Amino acid sequence: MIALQLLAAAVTVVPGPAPNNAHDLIAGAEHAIKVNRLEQAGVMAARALGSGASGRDMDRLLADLAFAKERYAEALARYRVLLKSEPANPDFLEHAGIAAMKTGQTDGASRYLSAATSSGGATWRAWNALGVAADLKGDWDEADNSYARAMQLAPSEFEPLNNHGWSLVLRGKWRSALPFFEQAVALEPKSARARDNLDLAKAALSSGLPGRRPGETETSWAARLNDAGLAAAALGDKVRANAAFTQALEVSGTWYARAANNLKAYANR
Amino acid sequence: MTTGGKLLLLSGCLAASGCTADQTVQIRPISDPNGKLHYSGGLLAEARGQLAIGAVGLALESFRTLQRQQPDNSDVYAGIAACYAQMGRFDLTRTNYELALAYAPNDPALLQALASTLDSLGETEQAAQVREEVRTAAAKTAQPQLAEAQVTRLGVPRATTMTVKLPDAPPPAKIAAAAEPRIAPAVLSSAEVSFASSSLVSANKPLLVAAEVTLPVAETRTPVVALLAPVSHTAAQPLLLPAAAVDVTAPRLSEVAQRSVSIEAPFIDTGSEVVAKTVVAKAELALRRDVARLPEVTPDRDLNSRGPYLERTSLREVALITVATPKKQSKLESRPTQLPQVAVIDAPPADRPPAAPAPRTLLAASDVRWVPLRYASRTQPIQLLNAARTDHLAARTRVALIDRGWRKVSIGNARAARQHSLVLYSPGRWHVAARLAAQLRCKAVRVASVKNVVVLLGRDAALRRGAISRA
Repeated sequence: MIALQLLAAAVTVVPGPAPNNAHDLIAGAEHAIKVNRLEQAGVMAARALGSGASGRDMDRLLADLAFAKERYAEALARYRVLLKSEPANPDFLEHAGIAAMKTGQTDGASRYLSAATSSGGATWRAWNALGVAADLKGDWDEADNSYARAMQLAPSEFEPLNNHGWSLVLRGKWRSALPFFEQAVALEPKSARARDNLDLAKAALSSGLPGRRPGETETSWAARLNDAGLAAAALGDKVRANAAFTQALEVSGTWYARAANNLKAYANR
Repeated sequence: MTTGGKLLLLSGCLAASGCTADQTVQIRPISDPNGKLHYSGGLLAEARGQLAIGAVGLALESFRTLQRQQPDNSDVYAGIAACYAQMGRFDLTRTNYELALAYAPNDPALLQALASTLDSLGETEQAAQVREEVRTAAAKTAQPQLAEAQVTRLGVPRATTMTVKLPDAPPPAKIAAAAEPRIAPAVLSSAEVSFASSSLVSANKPLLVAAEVTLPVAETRTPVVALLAPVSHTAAQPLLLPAAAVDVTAPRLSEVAQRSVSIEAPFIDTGSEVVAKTVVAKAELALRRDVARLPEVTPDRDLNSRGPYLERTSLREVALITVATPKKQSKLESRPTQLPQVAVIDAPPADRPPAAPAPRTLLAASDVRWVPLRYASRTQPIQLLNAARTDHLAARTRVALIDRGWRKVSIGNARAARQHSLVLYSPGRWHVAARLAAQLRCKAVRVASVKNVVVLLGRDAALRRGAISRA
């Protein structure tokens, strides 16, 4: 009787949904990463793992997912494993280089990115990242060359322009940096970083201190004054730097610790 | 011992008498507005019903329960997303639509809903990308087969003949009483293709023929593709296409009034030498048999012979046929269109005498429509539009407003940039607009064409947050 009941139960169990093909799941997850739907990609990757997927494609998917989710340490570890089997893969090298740079491993980043750009099919992102790595090392020639290649490959992207401008700012060449920032803002007006960099360069190159814009809050104005003070300090204009930090403290509605610290540090020089 | 026993006996008697007292336990049912929904087909339908009637919290709870029971069901995540969309939490809406897409990645409705959500979040570029994905998927599913068989059309059209052989018409059979008239299938069973040029003939190579049958009446073209096995033939011999290749079936051909259709065979490919041997052939052909229309059995005859009878017109509906010409009458039309009128009286201003209350008509119960979950209305009382061209300004402002207790706030982008923020409100929403304007430190203007309240966030709102984004 028990056996009959068990048999009946087995017969009447409703079958669950058929498991999807692991290959399809991996392909779908890669597509989701490509179009920046990371939640979807994460679930599809988990389903692929659950259906027994493994191997190079699965490892690549997990590495790409970690990279897209900005879990750079995990991504770097996974790309290192992948590079053992495919040491010349430009995608792996590029992503490993960027992940290494994001985790502060500048030497490793330069190594990966140099290898990535040594092959013919390097993307503008690889060249751009190599330029940033060169900036971090102070290798200005390599930085200029890398940004130039990145801009050549992707003339409509604003990031190489912005980074090249910042590279020039790091060298104290504010006037040379200004057109790069202007071009970057022209290409991508929504980029707050490019706009801020342009404001900073303009403030550094102007003779006076930035005035208050119509409708601008005290906090925002104070922040711009503090930035102008830093730029003036970088250019060695001590009087203007002190004036900017002091005015930033005055106009700020609340205690502005950053401007106070800057003023104190610069006064002690 | 004796005393203890007596006490025990006494307490037992008291307890027994208490239990046997004639008291009826009355349980008053708690009124449940969703009671009718419990029997409408599962928790998913119940949750959708709750969402449709605006009980978003209950719907969300039901969807969450379903999520635990059916974690692989994309409809559940879509339902959760729709709930969050009703709440104005488009960030969570996006997350849940993505989760739904993880289980149904090619669902066009989900992709469209995600695109709308991205629009609400101000991510118009990604929304356009998703819509493009929908279009691409739709195009792929529309013509998957012919694209593979297409060969480049080259060369000068050459004359050739094509004859279609149809099977002989079957003798008209005696048709038993049937409920509706039928049309006999007319099938182009085979076609003979004669080539005028011998350059087409290539022995022992597979032959790909792609043709289109043009129906004169409907001006439609039906693709016909055939890959023939290697054949050996000469120009003088007609090539017989198999029945499967030219099977233009009955429904289309039944519309053909004329006795001829044209077949255009632009692509004839003889194996590897595609380009050199591609021709365009167009020929008129004669249908040997007209569309055979079987004798119709009129309802009169059937009704007279059988009397009134029941007929199932759909899965839900059964019709009693009593007259020869059926007349359908909608239930909704037969009902009174207005329920007893209910007066809604607004307090009149002090300087105006009270006017007669305008009667407001309630909708009939039959007018309640079940809105599909993914297309549920998402109207929000407050709409924040980014008019400063600053990233995520509307989203950040909405977070700030939600922190202050505001609810049902949607976001978007304004068409034009503005310097100063402005609150536009419809008549009757001034109290909301005034509170918003006070909190956003801007003016409020009454505009008749605006629905509810629209806030245009100008650059001044962006500048108030400028310091936060600076490192």
